[in-house]
Amino acid sequence: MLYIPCPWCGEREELEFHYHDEGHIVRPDVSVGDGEWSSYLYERENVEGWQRDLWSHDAGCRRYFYVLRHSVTDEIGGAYKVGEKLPPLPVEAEREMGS
Amino acid sequence: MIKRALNRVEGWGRVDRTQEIDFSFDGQWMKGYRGDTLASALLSYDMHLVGRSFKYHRPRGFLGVGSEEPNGLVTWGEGKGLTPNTRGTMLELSEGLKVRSQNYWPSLHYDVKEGLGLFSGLLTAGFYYKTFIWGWRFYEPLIRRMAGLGEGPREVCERDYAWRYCSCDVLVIGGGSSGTAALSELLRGKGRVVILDEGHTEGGWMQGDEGEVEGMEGMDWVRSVWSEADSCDHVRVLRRTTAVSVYPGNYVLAVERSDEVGEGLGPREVLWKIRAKEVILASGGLEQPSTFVNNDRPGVMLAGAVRRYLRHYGVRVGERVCVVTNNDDAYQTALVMKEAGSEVMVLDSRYDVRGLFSDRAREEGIRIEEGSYPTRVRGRNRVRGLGWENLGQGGESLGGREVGYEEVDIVAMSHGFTPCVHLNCHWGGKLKFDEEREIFVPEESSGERFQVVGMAMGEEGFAGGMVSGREAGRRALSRLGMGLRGRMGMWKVGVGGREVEEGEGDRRWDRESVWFPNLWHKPGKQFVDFQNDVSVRDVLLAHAEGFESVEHMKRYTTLGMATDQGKTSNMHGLALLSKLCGKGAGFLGTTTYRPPFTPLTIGTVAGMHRGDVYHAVRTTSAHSAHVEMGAVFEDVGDWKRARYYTQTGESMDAAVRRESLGVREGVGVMDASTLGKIDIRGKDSVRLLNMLYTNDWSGLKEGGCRYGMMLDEAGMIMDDGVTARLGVDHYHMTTTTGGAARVLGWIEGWLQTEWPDWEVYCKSVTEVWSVYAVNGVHSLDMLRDILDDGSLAEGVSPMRVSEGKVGGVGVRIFGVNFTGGLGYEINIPSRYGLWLWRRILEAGEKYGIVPYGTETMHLLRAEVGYVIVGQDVDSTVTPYDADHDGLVSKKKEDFLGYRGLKFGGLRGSGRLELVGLESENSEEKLEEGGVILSEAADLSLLPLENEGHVTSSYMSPNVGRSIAMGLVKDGKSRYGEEVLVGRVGAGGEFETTKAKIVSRVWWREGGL
Amino acid sequence: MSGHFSGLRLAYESLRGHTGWGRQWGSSELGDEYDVVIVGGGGHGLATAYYLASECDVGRIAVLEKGWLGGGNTARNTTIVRSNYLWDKSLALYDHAVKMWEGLSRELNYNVMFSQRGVLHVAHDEGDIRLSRRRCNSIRAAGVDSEWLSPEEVKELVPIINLHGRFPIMGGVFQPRGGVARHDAVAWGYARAASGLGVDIIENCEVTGFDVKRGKVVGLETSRGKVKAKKVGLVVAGHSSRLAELAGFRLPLMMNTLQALVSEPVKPMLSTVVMSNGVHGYMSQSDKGELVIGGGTDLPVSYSRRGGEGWFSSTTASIVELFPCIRRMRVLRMWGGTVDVTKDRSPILGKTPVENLYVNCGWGTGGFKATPGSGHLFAHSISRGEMVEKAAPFGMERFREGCLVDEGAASGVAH
Repeated sequence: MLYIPCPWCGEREELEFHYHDEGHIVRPDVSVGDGEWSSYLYERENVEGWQRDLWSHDAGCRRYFYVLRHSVTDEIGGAYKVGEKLPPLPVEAEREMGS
Repeated sequence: MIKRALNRVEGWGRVDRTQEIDFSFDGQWMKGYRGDTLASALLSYDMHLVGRSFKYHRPRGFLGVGSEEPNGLVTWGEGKGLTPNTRGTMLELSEGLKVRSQNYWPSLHYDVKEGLGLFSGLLTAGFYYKTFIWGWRFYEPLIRRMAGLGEGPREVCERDYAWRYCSCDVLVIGGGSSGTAALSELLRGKGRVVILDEGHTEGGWMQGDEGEVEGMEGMDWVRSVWSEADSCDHVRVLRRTTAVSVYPGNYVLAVERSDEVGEGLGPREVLWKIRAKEVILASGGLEQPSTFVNNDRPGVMLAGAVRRYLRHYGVRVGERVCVVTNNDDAYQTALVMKEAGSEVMVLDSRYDVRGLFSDRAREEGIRIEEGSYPTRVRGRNRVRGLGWENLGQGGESLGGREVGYEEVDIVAMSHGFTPCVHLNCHWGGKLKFDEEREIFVPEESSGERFQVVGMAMGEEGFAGGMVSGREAGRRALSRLGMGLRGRMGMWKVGVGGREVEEGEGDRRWDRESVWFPNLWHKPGKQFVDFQNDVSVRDVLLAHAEGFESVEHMKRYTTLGMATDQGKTSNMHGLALLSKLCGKGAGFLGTTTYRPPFTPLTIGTVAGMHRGDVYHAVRTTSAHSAHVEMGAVFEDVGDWKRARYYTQTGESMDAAVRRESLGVREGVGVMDASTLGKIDIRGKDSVRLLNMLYTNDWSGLKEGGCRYGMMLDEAGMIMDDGVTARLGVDHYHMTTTTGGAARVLGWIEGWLQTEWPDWEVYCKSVTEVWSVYAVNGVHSLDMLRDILDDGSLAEGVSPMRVSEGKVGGVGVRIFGVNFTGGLGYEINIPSRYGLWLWRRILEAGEKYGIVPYGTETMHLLRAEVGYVIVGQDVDSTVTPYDADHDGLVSKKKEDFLGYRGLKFGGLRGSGRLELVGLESENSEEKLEEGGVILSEAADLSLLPLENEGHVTSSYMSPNVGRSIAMGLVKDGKSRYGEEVLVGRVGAGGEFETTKAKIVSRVWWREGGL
Repeated sequence: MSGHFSGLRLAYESLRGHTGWGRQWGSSELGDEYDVVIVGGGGHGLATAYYLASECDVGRIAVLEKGWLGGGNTARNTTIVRSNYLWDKSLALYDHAVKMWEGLSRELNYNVMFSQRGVLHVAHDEGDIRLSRRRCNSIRAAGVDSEWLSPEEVKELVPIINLHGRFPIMGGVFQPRGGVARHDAVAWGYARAASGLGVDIIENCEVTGFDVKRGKVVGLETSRGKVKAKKVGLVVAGHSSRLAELAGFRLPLMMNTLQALVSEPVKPMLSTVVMSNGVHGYMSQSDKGELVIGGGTDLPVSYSRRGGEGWFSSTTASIVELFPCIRRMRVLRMWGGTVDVTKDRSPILGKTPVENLYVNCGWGTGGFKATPGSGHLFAHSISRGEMVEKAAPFGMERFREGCLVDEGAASGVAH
């Protein structure tokens, strides 16, 4: 179980939260073509490494925020609020991927 | 016949011999003591044959003494308490315990299936891939019958299984010497500590080993530390508790066998869910067996286990012992068994043997054959004797000729140890191969707050292990800001009466590389994985067939896939494969370690989530009244909703008929409290509504209501409902019952991430209000009767919301209904819900009021063509498909779903469109889910083209015939056309009915 | 190499001490040039290579596998085979596979242990029944087998099931031709057959880049060197996004961790596959006697192949509600894999923005059942240069056009 650091409530167990999507997906202007709209709806980065997630603390303060998480090792590298300046991704240490 | 426990020796062991326990094994009653396991008790009666192996049905006895045991699996209990596949070495004795051996027919001693051994040539690894190619379905039942270790339970276990959550500063996993050493330091600090050990008594290897700590005998020292911990209020001590899995972030699952065998009221097992700031893993090492022919016979055991049975349980497992070893540690077994009165000899594969214990053994005159390795064991149901060959100076084979033989009844083997690293790897910790010692050890840098100590870290020595434990404890405290003062003084640690310093004279596991010197011995089996009957020859075959990665070898031979998870077999398997590939033993790496560490009871994982508390049941305030009135309920998500009411045992169809006529012709009331309700406030409320819904909300005046449809960003209908404007910047939104939480989440997501600067606030008020839908020609008359000020009823008009009081309590009346006729919904704070329900029924009596349920509600709305999101439309239907073109604003330049609706593929023909359907035979109800086919479809030419399906279907007494709705291909341009509706009939054949595409509105206020 | 497999051969070899068996598939060095390179040595990739070699006239073929053959999702799935999907296009696709399963052991001369013991989907409430009946009827109309069972008939088929739990069982849809197969055997069987037809199978060979000239793929860079290729098929499931990025495009996928677990082996107690969308879980019993239990995916994008504990407890609790008598049995092992999930729960088979680079992915939680069909259709499409009829609706263009084949509504736990 992940230990998520809610920026308001502190570190809590994963079961209090809900994962939504990759973070910082911006809704395009409605004048874009079908290709771009479908990219927004369906295409995702699926980074193998550190990424920014969008979570909400559903069983707590119910706020949405972003979490830095390593998609291979499940490490949590911190969290930040909507609107805050993006903290840099943690440095990728030398590691072998997967097994 | 067994009469006495001859192997129980006086003056040895720590079980309480004042407490006798009766138990039975295969029908024979025997005695043991409190503190015994089934294994120690059986061994005290010299019962070594306790089971049969999986594939070849070879006779088997206990190999080990703990959870690493691969052979001694038994079934205990009966009926609801039937528990198969239990390790006898972990099963604590309790009064009246009934145990049976497994996997034989007709008896344990004379198993007919042992004859399969004759066919073992055919039954090699993977044989089933090479044959049964034609007619697998005939052979499969046979194979299935042969597989499986014990019979699965058929009755339901009634015991409880509980979860407990715990967070702590330091978690110590393992209560052997290193774990206890860590604990001793932690006791001096202030942190909250949890220590767990899988044994019912602490000590681990200390239970069988020699050692002294600060002048105390090893186990006495362990017990003194643990008893201090027992009474320390910042330490939680968990015995009988196995850590089964470690997740990243130091989240550990551990199972406590709190009352495994008993029938008490407490939980049978407790699943501890532990979040620790620091973890110290002291899981010790796993002694490895040697490979030689017939190394699986009852009486062939691990050396460490043999001496632990003696020192801890007081059981001397045999009279004539041959110790087979490549290291010094196993000599402890030789020494101690001799002291207890057995005849002992040692086969050591090394030359010039020197060491702490081997020196003493030589002094005591124990026969030691150097440079020797077993060839084969004689004996079948029990070891009778052992032969051996000589090896070269480098451990290589000299041809395999047997140069010696001795009659023995126990072979105590030790091929070194491997660190028990599973829990380190579960969360992603890495391993490295120590070339010199030929073991896999955890990488130092693996975990920031996860330390591995003692044998688990490859620390061989007794003193070294203690130091690593103590240092880890101190390090953990210091990282937590609770560091201990002063330097760590070195303890006086003794082994065999001699004081040893860390690293000095304590390298008891030092060994030479001796892997499979007798690789080519035939005939006979050398077992690598005991439980799955995988022999050296199977691994050779796998290699020959090209299965060169450890994962391939594992899957092909099934080595390491048994319930012991390869604890005594993985290392040999991969060492052999590496050797066959011409590389060093660790070259190929290990397979992936997966939880659970030992098999984990399914009930424990499910915990208390069963029966009544498996999943929440949500009921409305008036639930008890519905029950009284004979409601039959249906599940709508978590809710129980009244589907229909029956008091005279009438069928559902009859009830619905009665209810629906009653509503239209008189008045009816339905509990609609489960519908989602969201309170919306703020100056940007309208802006929000305009984004959420397809239609325009700017012109809605205070006191007005409007129906709206919500789309997802792909343009598909997601939810719908009526929203009312209660004030200037105050709205009350309703959603479907099932969609309530989803819609609120949808809204919150948008507001918090995309439009965070908007001033609008939402709150779920689903449970705050009870809602009753009152419908029918007399509905307004009733309202006049129940309102405190009856004149307010005149103000209730379609799509208007007004307020009033009933019995002094404020209510809101929404001029909306789901029946298309005259009606409204009255909302009251839910603590008055039950009261209002009763008041409504009371007031309605003179009008013949009919309470109606969801089934009637569905019928009535269908009569007027209203759509149910989730039934008539799902995530593949747009507003245009649903014939709600008018709901999509042509003025608005954006809303959620606006762009999605413009996808090229959503235009054009071929879309499934929502229309009405009438079956040719008006008495026949079309099936919901019936598939729409062309009128000309030829049933003999499959596949038929699927032109849609029936979404809702009812017999309507108000309309006087059956009515239905369906999604039909190009339905909107096919009114009047006939189609076929196909279904799988009661007898299994596919049958069709004719139907016509019609408008989906059959009833209007004032009649048809 | 390995020679012909049969009961007689097995008996003969046992007399010779099993020294006569050779490698099941060849171990090759990476060549300089191939007509078709298949990236991904899992079930689908190996099947593709086999059908390219046996039914299409394409020339030299290679399969490049990053790790050990069949070590991805082929090694980790819960082995269910069925074709009872909702839409006509899906039915055609998956039943193409089931028909091939029915003759696969003979075709490959390898017992893949395909056991047609049926697959049952149980329904728990009115909504479930409606959806299930719709599926049952649509499947039949499409010429695929499907039956409706009453609760009593469900109990007869599955004696250990609990009809009266919190969400009672109100019936079920049954596909008799569905069942289970042995996952490793499928990979090994295809590898052996393909190798026997001259396909180069290269393990421990990771693709690190694509050589694209004027919008057309002409070669690949790998950890074992460069290789030229006229056509390339990507069949890498959870690694699809990464490879697509190397080739310069994105895929409409989400990578999730999917977990599963097995119990200790017991004598036969469950003779069919039982699936429940309502409680999100399903169970079958392997030939070895282990109960195989699965459920839905974990949510976050993840490659950890480990997954969270929440899945473990909720799926297990759900299965215990359906089969209360297993409460006292034990979990033996649990694991996870990375599945590539599409929004509509239908696969992606088709061309990519790079010419001559084809992709086969997006099978999400339900790829194993389609293995032979997927390989077959993909092979013929690559060979022809155009997607064959049954594969055509599943190109990635459908997302741009808004023509999704939405199996999500109906599949729930799609396996």
